[in-house]
Amino acid sequence: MFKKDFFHQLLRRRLTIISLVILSVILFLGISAPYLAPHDPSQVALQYRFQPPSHQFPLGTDNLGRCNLSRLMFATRVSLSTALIVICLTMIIGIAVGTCSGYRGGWVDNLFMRLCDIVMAFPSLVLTLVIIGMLGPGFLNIIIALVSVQWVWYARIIRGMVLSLKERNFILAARASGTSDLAIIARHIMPGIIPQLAVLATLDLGGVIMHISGLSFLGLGIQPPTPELGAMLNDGKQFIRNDQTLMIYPGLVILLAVVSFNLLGDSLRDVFEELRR
Amino acid sequence: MNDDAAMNVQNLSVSLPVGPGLLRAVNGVSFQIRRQKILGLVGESGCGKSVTCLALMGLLKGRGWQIEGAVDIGGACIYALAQEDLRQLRGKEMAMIMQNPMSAFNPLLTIGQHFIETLQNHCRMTAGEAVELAIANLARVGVPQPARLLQRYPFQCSGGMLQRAMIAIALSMRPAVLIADEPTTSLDVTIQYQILSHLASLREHYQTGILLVSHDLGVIAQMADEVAVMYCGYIVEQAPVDELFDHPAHPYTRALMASRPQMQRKRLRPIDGQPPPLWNLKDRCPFEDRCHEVADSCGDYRMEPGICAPGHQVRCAKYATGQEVILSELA
Repeated sequence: MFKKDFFHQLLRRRLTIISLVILSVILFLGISAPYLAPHDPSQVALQYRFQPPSHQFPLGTDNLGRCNLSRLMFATRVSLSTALIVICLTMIIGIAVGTCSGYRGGWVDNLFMRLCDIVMAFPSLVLTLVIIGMLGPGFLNIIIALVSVQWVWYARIIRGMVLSLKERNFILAARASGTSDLAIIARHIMPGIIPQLAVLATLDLGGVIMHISGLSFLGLGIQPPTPELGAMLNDGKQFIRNDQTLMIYPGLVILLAVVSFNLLGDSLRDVFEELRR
Repeated sequence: MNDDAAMNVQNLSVSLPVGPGLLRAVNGVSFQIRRQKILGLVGESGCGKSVTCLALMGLLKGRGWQIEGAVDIGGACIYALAQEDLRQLRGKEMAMIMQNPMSAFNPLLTIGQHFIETLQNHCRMTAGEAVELAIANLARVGVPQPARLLQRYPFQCSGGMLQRAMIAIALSMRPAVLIADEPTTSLDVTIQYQILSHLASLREHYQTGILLVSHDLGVIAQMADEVAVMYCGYIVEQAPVDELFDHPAHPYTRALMASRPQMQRKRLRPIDGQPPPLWNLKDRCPFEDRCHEVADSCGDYRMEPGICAPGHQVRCAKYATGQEVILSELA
């Protein structure tokens, strides 16, 4: 009954449908890149530099004669999957820490929250840069850097939700009927925080994509020759006078992905609020 | 101590440090809940009834609650048990019915899921077996179409239905003790009557001892076998139900009785004043300031229990040990 209501409410909004369509196109292109891409994204062919769109190269080629469309598809794949990994890890750590400190309280809570305070005391971009500076750029390091900066926000928010949930009467009733702490967390607390968490994660996905692309643009993220949206922007930057499309394509993909995730997050929040009423 | 005692509470005190002082919510409470009997606990709001209930279930933890005394069930004190053993007892040996059924169910789970949860906490059984047992138990508390109720979410049910479901869940493990913390306060009178009569008949069927907490003297008079009157965390008077209602001994009990609405009287007679704040409660009688029968002996009285008739305990200076002689001299 809940599920039916949920989808009914969600699909009633036009913006949601638009953002869902855009996201599924982007996701499809990313997922199917190895199968559908017309060329090898890192195959250099200097005889084909700066080709306009043609049958062979639907979106033209870049300064090294690589197929723009293929690179774009692989870049989307890399950026999105990195962002998803970052969000998943952040959520796992955030949920673990947040529920632990919210539910247990006492010194566990104090320890984790002071740790959060320390991380939150630095501007998150600066901290990310510092961590990447120490670890060096790279796929794994950018994930480590982003996760270690982001988890504190999730931990904080989840702790707050757990704190308010655990004072509810039905938790007391569950304890009175002999439910163990683990079962209470799994069956009574988790379902209460998942909706808000889904909103948070969806809204954040856009932000994380921006972060990854931004860092790659600065040369701190994913390294060439691996195609990545931010890195492609950076590559295209030098040729902005000759061929603007080199920057427009990856920029457009980033824009669409981020805006769609934000819109989706917003409407998820609206739907959950509506359902709660 | 009687053999048929299902739960034996000895000298239970609960306090909570608040700022510089100590909030004494329950002070040296002792009573027995006997199998198949109903012990009524009456008292005004904030006198420590609910805290007593939670303490009996071992549910007061965190925030620095300090608990002294013993709550024995099946020969073991629940405060001496490991957390896991205590959890096993909850719901199986001692169950609880909450005050407000609307908030005691998780809005995201169906009634059936609540049932299955409690049953699977204590028995190895499949969800199907649990559902069968649930239907049998719900039928016993007079729920029409129990199978349909199991599929409903709490917000789709009326308060009376939920309270019945809660009673059925609480009694499904056949606990030795059922703690009913104001089970009918949020329900209307017809439902209250039905719920109470189910409770009364179920205790015989399940051999359960019930602690019935209420601030409704009428409910207590009708249901209980024995009554304890609570005031500011003390049990000021405890007696079999007829004895207590026929010969209330403590001035507070008498004042309570006088403040009940009655057929003949037009105006209610309230108890003057307010109960004293519970923090930094000294050992003196907390009712002293509101009492119409204060005497000189009240000043030295330190809430020692006295006995005014067999089985009739009173905590009042007039009945304190050593005072009996003076009383009989006066008479």
